[in-house]
Amino acid sequence: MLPMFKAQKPATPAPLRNSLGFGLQILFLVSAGLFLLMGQSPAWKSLVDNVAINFLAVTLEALPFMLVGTLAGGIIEVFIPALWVDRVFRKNRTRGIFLAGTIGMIFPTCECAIVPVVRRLLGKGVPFPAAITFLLAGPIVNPIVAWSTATAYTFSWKIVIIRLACGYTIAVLVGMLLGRFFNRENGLLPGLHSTADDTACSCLQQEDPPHSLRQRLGHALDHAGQDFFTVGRYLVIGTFIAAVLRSSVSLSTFEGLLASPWLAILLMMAGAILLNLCSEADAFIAASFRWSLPDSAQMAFMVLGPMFDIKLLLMYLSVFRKRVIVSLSLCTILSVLLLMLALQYIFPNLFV
Amino acid sequence: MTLSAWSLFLVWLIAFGRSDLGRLLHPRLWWLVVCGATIFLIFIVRQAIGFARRPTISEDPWQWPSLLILLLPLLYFSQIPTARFNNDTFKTRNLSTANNSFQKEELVENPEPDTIPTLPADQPREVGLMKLYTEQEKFLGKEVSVVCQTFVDDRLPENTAMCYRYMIACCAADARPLFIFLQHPKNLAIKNDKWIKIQGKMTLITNQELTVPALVVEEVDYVAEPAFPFIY
Repeated sequence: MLPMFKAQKPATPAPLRNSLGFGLQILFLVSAGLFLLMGQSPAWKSLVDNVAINFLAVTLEALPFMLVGTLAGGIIEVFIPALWVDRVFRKNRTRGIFLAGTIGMIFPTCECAIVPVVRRLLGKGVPFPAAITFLLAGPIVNPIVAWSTATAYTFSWKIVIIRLACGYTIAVLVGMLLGRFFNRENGLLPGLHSTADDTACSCLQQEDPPHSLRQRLGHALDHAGQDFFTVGRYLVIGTFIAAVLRSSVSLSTFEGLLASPWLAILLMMAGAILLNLCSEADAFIAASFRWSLPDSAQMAFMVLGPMFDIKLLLMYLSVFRKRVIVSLSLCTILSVLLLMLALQYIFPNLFV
Repeated sequence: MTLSAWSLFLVWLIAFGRSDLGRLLHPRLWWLVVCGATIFLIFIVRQAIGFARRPTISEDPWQWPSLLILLLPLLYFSQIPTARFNNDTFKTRNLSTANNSFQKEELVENPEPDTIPTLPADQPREVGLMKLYTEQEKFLGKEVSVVCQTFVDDRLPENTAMCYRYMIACCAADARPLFIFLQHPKNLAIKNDKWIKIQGKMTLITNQELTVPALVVEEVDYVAEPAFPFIY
């Protein structure tokens, strides 16, 4: 019998997304590694030292919060039934959006933990607009941020109320706006589209689904571990970029470029995005501008920071499609800008 | 491997690396490091149990850059033992007034009012920089001792230097300098970017609208960096 040529099925090429992501990650690793090596020379040591300190400081503070967020996400995935989500959020979508903005008052979630939690909530079936609202409001509308703001501003509760009210308003508005154009199908990454129907976790559809509390806790840990590996790399990349910017950009740059309140608002918003401070500490930085910048500019810094910065922007890549990230970014930035301009020019006496 | 590396690192940091940790994170947040180490250990135990039941290793070639990225902070930690905030950081993080406190304008020393009673000479007591701001009246005119880091710059008036420490709320990333002025005799040159313990009489200096504590320096000792260099 003659050997017959058998056409080999061509190997399926890796999706372009995988190749690009792989390449970008390699590029980042090489850049970060080279930058570290440059720190061995006296000319670069000071800058690399500063970057290393900022990088490690923020990572050590943010990473545990993110891990807690992944644990919360795992518990949501395994223990929260889809029927409950349906009853609370899907039956009345508008009520769900308004409710989502207040969840942070009961379950305070910092910006490092919010992404893995929202990721699991979306997988559980929480409607897209409500999830966006919680994503934005969770890190700012909570008692911990209220307390740190009060402390930074010597217990001026008016500032606290204005900060929380602005955060809530913007979160609800952006959630409603994005909800008109995006949904789970066109807004989320493919793996997050489907939701479990009546089961609490897709692992219940396996051959040997978990039934006991111990088994379900084990599965919750499995989900949490997966989230760590999925979201953690974006946290590290975002923190590194923020550390480089923090070490390079001088705070007096903002004062030096000050020409008018609207410019101050814009510059403080840029500062909030670039500096990547946690929502506990940003009030102290904003308060240090108390005697040199208008209240609206300080408020812009405090409102935008927990909602949007470089670290968060990169973490969004683990949940949303790029068009959603662009839309979310633009809507959030524009909303904060317009609201702060309104506070400055229409309601200037609000801060008095 | 990633989980093991992180858990070992965090355990080492809290057990043996507190001097480095003190330069990164506010002590009231050190529980975060313990929390992170605990969660990583839980993940490791869970993975070990899962592997024992179903020993399969899935190798995804697209995954290894992500794992390396997660280990990047551990690599950068090699820089931490010798990394310090210095004068360049001070310039980057200092908020000057609208009139720029670095300008060589004449800094006006607040004259001592006649009503301040003459107090018996005390041993100079060491006070924190924060107290010189918050309890100015208590220390005005008295001999005090302060430990801080020097900043010497040509833009400052003659025989004047600055001395500062960083104040943090959460971590080193939000550190901002708190400074005082030092007025020293001509023959007492103060070295730049050094930790010093100074003794002197406290006074106040006004630069336009900003009132800053100052010490009329009598004695300078160059000291080692404190174990916890930040003010909390």
